[in-house]
Amino acid sequence: MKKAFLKIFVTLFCVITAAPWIAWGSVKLFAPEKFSGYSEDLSENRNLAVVNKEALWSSGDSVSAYIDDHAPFRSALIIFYQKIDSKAELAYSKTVSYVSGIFSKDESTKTQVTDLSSFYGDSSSVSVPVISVPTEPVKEHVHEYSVSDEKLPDCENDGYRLYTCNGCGDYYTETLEKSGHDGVLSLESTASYTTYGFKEYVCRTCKKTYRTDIEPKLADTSYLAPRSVGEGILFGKHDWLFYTGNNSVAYYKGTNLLDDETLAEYAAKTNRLNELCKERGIKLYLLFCPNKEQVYSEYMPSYEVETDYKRTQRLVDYINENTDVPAVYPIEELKAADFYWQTYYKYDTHWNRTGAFIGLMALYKAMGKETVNPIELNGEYVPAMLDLCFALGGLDPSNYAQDREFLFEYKPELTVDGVDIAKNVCRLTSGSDNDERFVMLGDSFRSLMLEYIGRDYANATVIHRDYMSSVKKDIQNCDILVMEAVERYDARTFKAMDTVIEYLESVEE
Amino acid sequence: MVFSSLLFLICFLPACLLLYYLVKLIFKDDAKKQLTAENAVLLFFSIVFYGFGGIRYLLLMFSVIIINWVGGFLCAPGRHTEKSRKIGLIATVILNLGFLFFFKYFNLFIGMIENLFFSDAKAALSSVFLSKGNGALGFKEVVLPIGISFYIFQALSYVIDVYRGNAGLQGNILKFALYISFFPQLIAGPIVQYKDVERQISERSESAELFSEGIIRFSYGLGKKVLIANTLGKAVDSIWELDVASIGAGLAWFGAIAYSLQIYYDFSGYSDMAIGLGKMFGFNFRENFNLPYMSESVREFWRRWHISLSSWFREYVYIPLGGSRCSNAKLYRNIFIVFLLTGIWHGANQTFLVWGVIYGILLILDRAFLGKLLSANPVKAINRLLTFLVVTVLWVVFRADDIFLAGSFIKSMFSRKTGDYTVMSFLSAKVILAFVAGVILSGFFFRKKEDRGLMKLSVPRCAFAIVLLLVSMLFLVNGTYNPFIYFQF
Repeated sequence: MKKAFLKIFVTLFCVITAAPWIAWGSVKLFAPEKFSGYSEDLSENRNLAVVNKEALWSSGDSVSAYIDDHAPFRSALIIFYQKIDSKAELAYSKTVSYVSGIFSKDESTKTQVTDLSSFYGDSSSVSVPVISVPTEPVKEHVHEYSVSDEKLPDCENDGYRLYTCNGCGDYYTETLEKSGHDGVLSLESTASYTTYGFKEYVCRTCKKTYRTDIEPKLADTSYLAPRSVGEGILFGKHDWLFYTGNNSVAYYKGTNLLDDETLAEYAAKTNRLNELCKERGIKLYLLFCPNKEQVYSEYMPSYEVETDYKRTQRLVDYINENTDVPAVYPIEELKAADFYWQTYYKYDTHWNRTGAFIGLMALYKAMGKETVNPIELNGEYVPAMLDLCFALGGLDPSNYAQDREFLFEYKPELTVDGVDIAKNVCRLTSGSDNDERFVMLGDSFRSLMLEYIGRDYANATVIHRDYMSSVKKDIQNCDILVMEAVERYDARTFKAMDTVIEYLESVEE
Repeated sequence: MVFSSLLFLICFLPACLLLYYLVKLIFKDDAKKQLTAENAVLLFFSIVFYGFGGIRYLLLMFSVIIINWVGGFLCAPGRHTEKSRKIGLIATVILNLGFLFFFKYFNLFIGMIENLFFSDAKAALSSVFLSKGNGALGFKEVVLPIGISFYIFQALSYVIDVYRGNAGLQGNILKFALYISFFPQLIAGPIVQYKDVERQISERSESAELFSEGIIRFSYGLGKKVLIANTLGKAVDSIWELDVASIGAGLAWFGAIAYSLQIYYDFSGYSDMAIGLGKMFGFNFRENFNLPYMSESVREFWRRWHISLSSWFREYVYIPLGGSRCSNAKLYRNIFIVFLLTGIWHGANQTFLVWGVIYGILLILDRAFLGKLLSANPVKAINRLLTFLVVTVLWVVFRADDIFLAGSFIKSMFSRKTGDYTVMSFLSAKVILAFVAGVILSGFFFRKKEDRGLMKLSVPRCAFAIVLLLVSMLFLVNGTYNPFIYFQF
């Protein structure tokens, strides 16, 4: 082999090993704008390694870690790697789905659509007022009827005319037929694996929007082998991503049912806490936010689900049957709402702001508080706020379509202070005229309810349950106490109860 | 420090190369000074390399160096009486083995005593097969210094070679220190016998050809480790993390074969890097692997796997015991002893002992009749398949944390159950590519004569080496990505 070529080869090798620092330094010195471009923050949310001088005698690991975290062009290289890696893994996933699709039957059975309004009471019908009839017999009498009350019909509701006899009080009603909507077709959707079928109209008369010809989503029964990547990010169907941490798959499969002993233990603790709460005039509620896998099971890869009556539903039923404390598990509401808006993020394990609102309304219903049917609210679509699956899975977001969520315009006349979804302890204040003191102890699912809770209570304390010690007084002096937990953290609510019990026991009368 | 880290690749290695060739240039007119300076550079960097694991382990290695250097003087022919020489040899060997036993096997020894005598009688008999004790005696765990098995064996090789007169006494302690501590082979071999390297410490020549061979070797080794071994390793580790009872036959076999590939590419990759690095500084080390998975018998396997270790045992244990020039009974005894020791050398766990002993038995059978049977078989592919299966099943024993887990895993391999997890769940584009590349390059299907092809310099090989180097470095950089999700889950 030619000596010259070999010398070049050797030089190239030395350049590759030695040059990174030189190049890095040069870029830093001579092209600082480019330098910041190459140092993009990877949102690792941790402190980069520092050299531990005292520990150097026992190990040089901190130096190695320091070099690892400060390697030249590190961010640019990691982003480049993730781009290519995501593309390769995506191509692989698509190939596997395609191949396994060939070998599976495609019975496109349909999923279900439940009417969301059914959860909020039938606000469409108007009851005809009943007027008590005097019991005195009346002698021969000729009725003279005139209109005493009238409600005009509109598009959806019948009206009535109440005729009452001026003399004796006898009455009869005449139903005024509803006119029906004068709808203009504004949106049409065909049922598919990811969309419902419906026709949406806007009424020229009453300006309401309504949907007809409703068809559920097609059920995708193709086989997709479960495959996860990174820190437990599971590839779902149609580009949905799920988080498998905290044993979520067992919750989904229904393989981690609680035994009777544990259920009894939980109920007993709940009762104990409720006793203490009642002594202090605190109303206690439990909220279990469904795991995304349960609400969007149509996008989960192919697992064998052992039972449909799973752990959390059993737990909630048990608590409701064996204690006075209302336990809420709004899975049906969240599924029903999906017809109108997606209620969980596509690329994150949390419910989105739509889902958070639905969940909160379900809680209010159990509290006996007034609820708002979200269909009646205005709002707009905004880009999705959370997409932690990308970072956890080392995936490149540019391979995925942008996710979005529907932001409700809820009580826009009020402003709320203290909303910060990243803070562990939030004290909210607003101009709401409800002065009940509200406290919620929960986890990350509480964060997107903040905006709404703030508008319903003048003073609300919403915290992560690991930080109870800083709001001890709030807990001891509140009127409403909600213990929230996402399904996969159900045990933590009961663990937290120990602390709350301790706080309430320690208050001097 | 490890070769497959950014610290080594872009800090340590370029600095060492730069300084080495700088002093070569500075002293080019005085060959003696040049050699001293070169050796000094290498020794300095080797000390830094090993010192990264902790200063106290560096001091331990210094003690071993001094003991053996002095031992050399006691054993060298012509300096003392035969009796004193023998005593000197025995003393040095005992000290070396004593160090090795204490640092490597003390924990296991105490653990077995605890399990046998300090736990309840029922558990005692089965728990003696566990590698960890129950802490009853309250000893603090002795940390195993990295590379101790390798450099103690190299030290033993020196004193024995000097005693026998196969190598000259090394009067220069710095040269001797370089032999023991030279960073390419310090941590993971190959085990270099003193007589093979004796001359090269005092006289060697670097050249662009040798350096280029070194680069190719090093890059191939790095690629094997980072791209194939590490990728398969992640999949294998996640399979071993599962509850063994839930692993079905298909997944168990996939895990076993993937581990066979992982350990081969990891170890042979590291050896390639060591040999490549040696060449960059003018050293020629012996091959350590020669496509072991194309072996057609277990006997052939041990001529192709971890060659430097089996050579060491042959040279310093097998042949002194009589080797094969004795009665059959003695031959079988020698084989058994060598493989018992081979197993023990690998680690302080009963799994390694069982692993070694089974190989010992298989090799005895091979000598007795199995070998003839296999060579009589015209369909060599069957021999290759059988050997690979045996080797793979034994790797399971090697990998398991204790022999009970090994037994359960092997049971899963030969059961008919489907298990809770499918193989598909552990596959990804990268794992499949690594697996396929691993199988093809292992020589199982394409029986090449030797793995020497890598030695030949050619433009495509050089280009591929550069590509491997760059891709491996990219993978290593990505490996540092470690996000912390603040959003309190």
